[in-house]
Amino acid sequence: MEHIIKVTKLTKVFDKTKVAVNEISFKVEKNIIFGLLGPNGSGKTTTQRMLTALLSPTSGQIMIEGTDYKHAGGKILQDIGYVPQKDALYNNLTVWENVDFFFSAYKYEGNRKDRIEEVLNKVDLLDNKNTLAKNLSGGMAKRLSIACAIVHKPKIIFFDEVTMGLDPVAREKIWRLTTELKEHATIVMTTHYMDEAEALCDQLLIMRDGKIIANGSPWEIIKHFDAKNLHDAMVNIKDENA
Amino acid sequence: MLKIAYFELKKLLRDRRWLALIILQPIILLFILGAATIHDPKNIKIAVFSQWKNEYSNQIIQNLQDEKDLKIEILTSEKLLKDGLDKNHYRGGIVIDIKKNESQINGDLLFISNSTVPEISSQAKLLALNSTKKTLADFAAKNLQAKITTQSQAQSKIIQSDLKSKIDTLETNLSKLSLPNEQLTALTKPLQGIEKINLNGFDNLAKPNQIKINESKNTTRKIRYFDFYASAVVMLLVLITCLNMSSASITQERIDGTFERFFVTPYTKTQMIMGKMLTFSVISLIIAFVTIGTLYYVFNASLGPLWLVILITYLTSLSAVAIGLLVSSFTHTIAESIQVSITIFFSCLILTQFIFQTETMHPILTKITWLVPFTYSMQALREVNLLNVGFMDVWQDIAILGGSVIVFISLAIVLLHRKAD
Ligand SMILES: Nc1ncnc2c1ncn2[C@@H]1O[C@H](COP(=O)(O)OP(=O)(O)OP(=O)(O)O)[C@@H](O)[C@H]1O
Ligand SMILES: [Mg+2]
Repeated sequence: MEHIIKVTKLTKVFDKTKVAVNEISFKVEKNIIFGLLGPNGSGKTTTQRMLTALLSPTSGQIMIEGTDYKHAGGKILQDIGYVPQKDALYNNLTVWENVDFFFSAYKYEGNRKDRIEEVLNKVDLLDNKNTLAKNLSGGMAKRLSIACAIVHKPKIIFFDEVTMGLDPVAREKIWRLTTELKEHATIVMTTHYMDEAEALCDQLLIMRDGKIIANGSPWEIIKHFDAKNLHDAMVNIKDENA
Repeated sequence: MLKIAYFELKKLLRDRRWLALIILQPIILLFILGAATIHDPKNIKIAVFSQWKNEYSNQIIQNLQDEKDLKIEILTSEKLLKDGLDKNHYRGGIVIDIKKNESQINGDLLFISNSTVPEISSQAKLLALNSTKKTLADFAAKNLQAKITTQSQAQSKIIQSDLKSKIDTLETNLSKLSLPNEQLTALTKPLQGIEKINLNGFDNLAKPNQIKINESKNTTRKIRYFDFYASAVVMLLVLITCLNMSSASITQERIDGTFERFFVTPYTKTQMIMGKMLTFSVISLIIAFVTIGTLYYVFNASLGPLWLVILITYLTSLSAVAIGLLVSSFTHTIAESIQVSITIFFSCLILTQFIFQTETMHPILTKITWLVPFTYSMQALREVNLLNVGFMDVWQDIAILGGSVIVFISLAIVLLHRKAD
């Protein structure tokens, strides 16, 4: 099996003392949905931010498609899409303009207009293409945020709690979209919804206090904690912690 | 990069209230500005040229040199003096043209003010004219006394005491004299008074009154006091607006999270800064046009060639935007960026010689003012708007401004941390 991401002893220390991520090592296979789980403050966002080159690791190594991140330069960014935990959109630009703007940063062969239309259609925002981002509802903003991250057809997509605050129908839609995306891309996602992780993820990594405490398929994890489902498994982890 | 600039512009133009503020601000401030501050300037550089060498002109120069607030530089030709004034080397110039022959002293004394700094210039004029008038009064008194001693003792005693009071009146009258364009009539009045008490044979004592004091300016423009500030205020308006909008811009993106998102794309920080730079320079061009337009159409202000005024203003705005972006490369909240830009603005207000002139400054601060790029735009704008100078006279200021844009942009690019740690 080919590994698109290989992380070795990755560590991030904030302000010299705050260890947010502590020597974690893992591998992610190509074209799967990889779930990063763990309680609040366990280091999921920090890990994702290092994987998207937004933070430089204090120590450790990140290999993307066999290339060390440190030496990859900006080239690797072409293949990455990131949906941050907080919707990061330009409020004074319309739905279409937001996508167009982020799209403009990437190389793309083919008709850009068609692609934007296609993506907006995918996230169900084509009818709202002229709405200003500041006038979108929470769920719509989230979907726009996703559109901005996938428009350039990245090979690796990072989702940081993309379904947070969405209604069940919208959540369904995103699940379907994520599964579709898996055909051409690898998805690394974080979520606090265990049903979601169980239904979507092929592979899971459970973190606590910056360390990995479990790694495997949802089924393996459930078995490992001797639980009924993933939810119970996670509650067990928290209990152990307390 | 053009795409970045295009969307940036779109974002800004959608903010209607902000746009209205940006355009109204210069108009409102122009109506408020124009008030003056009165200082106590020192070391005012005045050029003096005397056409003839005689005791009268020497004495006038000597007394000017004794004037502690003036710094007199004696030149060898009138041309040197006028050139120096045009190049803004002096705050004023005095041409002394006093001839003396056997029985007559007559001539002119011309004071030329430097139109770029009227308040300093008029202060200098006041000091110079008063000193000259005193000198002339002394001559009159000495002449009078010389004549008196040739009269009989008894006669002279009466005359001397009377004369003394006359000379006192003369001097108080002179010190009260401050109207610049006035001829030296004050001298003649008391002397005429002396004549009235029958000082026979003293009729040629009033000779110094044939020296006329004139004044002129080193420009043909009609300049009001308002113009002195108005000429340069465009620079300040552009400065504060550009500083504020650019210094808040990147910070806003940091807060919204779009900053991080931008840097997950292959866009670079150079592209971000240059893109924003391009947009803001369009906005600041609008501000420059509004301000210069108001000055021109509403206030009928004294302005130089419009393309030159706009060029200097535009470079100023680029420099301000670059400083703003530099600020935003290290500030983390909007409040922080606004505070920093306000501090920069007020420092510039003081340092660019908009209000305070170098004469009133600590010598070290004077040197610092020349490290601030806006001092050069202030200077260039004043010279272009108030004097009859062209591009060749201000190209150095323009070059320094242009250089500062490059320096600040480079610094902003270097100091902008795309990473969050
Ligand atoms: N820039 C920073 N400076 C200092 N500490 C930080 C910074 N970013 C994160 N941390 C700390 O690192 C730890 C991990 O944070 P992180 O955001 O990665 O958690 P998370 O797993 O994403 O949590 P959540 O589920 O709440 O999103 C937290 O204790 C947080 O306070
Ligand atoms: Mg998080």
